[in-house]
Amino acid sequence: MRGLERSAAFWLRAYPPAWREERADEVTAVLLDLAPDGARRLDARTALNLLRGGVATRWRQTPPVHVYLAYRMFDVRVPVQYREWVRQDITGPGHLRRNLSGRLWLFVFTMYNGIAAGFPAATVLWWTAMAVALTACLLLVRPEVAVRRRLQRHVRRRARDEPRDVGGYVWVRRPRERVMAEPGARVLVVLLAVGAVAWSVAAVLAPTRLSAVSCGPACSELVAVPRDAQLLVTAPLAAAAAVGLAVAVAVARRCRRLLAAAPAQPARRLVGLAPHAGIAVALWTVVIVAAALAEVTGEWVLSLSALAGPVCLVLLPSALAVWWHARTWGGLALVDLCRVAWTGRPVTVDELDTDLVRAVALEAR
Amino acid sequence: MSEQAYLVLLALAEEPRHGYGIVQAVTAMSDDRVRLGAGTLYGILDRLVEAGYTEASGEVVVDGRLRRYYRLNPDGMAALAAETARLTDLASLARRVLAARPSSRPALGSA
Repeated sequence: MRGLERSAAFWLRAYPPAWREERADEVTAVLLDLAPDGARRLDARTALNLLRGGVATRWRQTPPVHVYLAYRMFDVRVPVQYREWVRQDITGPGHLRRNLSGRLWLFVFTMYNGIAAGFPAATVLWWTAMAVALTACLLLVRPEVAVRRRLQRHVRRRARDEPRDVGGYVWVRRPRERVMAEPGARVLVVLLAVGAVAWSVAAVLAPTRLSAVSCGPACSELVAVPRDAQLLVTAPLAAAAAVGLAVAVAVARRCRRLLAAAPAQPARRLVGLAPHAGIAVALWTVVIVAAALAEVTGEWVLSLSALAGPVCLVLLPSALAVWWHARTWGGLALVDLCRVAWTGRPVTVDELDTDLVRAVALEAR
Repeated sequence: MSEQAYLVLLALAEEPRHGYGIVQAVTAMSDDRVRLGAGTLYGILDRLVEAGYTEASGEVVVDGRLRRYYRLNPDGMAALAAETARLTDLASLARRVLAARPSSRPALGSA
């Protein structure tokens, strides 16, 4: 009988995974009952019948093209009858790949330009840098949190007449997860420190800069010219550092005043950084240092460093102040410190988060 | 409603049945003419459940095989009655037309 069951399982793969999860045992039992005694595999007619049924079931649950494209390309919510399909799409294997490939149209013109120009080295370099930066961003996000947020956006019930459950799954409340203050602030400090050092050095050492030159009446263009006055770069950097220190003093004062009165957070659960956050920080460091090096060597004209260097210098002292307070006050989340430092308003109390779980799992709890 | 779906509704109207029970009942009712495959049966059951005509009414495990029973609910019974009325009207219409047909009418095209 085992051969027959294996054969049934093989042909049942024509059906959507969620359908199989719910019905496979039941349908396998029917298939075993229907098969002649001693059969080792399903006959061709039964197999074709299952194949057709599976395709029809998938087809019935899949939204029409216009709904599909609006969802895939622009993240538009689908009508209520396709919620189960969306749930599978968001939680099923390969969801990240599907989600990202749906955004590929954003890069159509860039890709067209690259292809039309025959992939020049500069374009390939840019794409590589973008890909590394994107990977670093994705690594900083916890995958299960990203899935939960997408479920909340696409599957959550918005109107009273919509059903409460989605194909055997129901919404429950759960504690809101927040990243702990200390490791989060540490990442912030490391990235800003790397940016401040690399880009400041690049701004000082870059051999060329952009300059607007006149090319006739009512016409000017940006061209790369050799660097002349060093003071034009060093003065803004020094000013940025001074402003940064002043801001940091204000931030430290805000933290002292507001963090002592931080309220209790019954609906919160503190978590560490995303599992691959270390790799993400390393990748960001590589991208920042590579961009700075390109300007130091004259590969790129002085541009990004002139802006990013001062910005990092302004923010770094405040980040250090936040980090120091994060170490002093335990039990806080990064979001609390950022809110206090950035807005000067008191810490808010988190509300409960929601999650979609199997109804069976809920009964077992 | 297809003939197969109609027969499945009829089978469930008699009593709640599991998947294999439905296949057997339909085969018996149609004198071995309609033999439902598992794919067809569950396609029909899915649609009937979606339309709110039938619902799962319980599960038992026999010889290690899961049997889920389905029963017809009032909506399904009403749909079955409506479909039966429609078929009856159709059949009586057909009988009237065939009865009114002159028996000695020459076939078109014959000399």
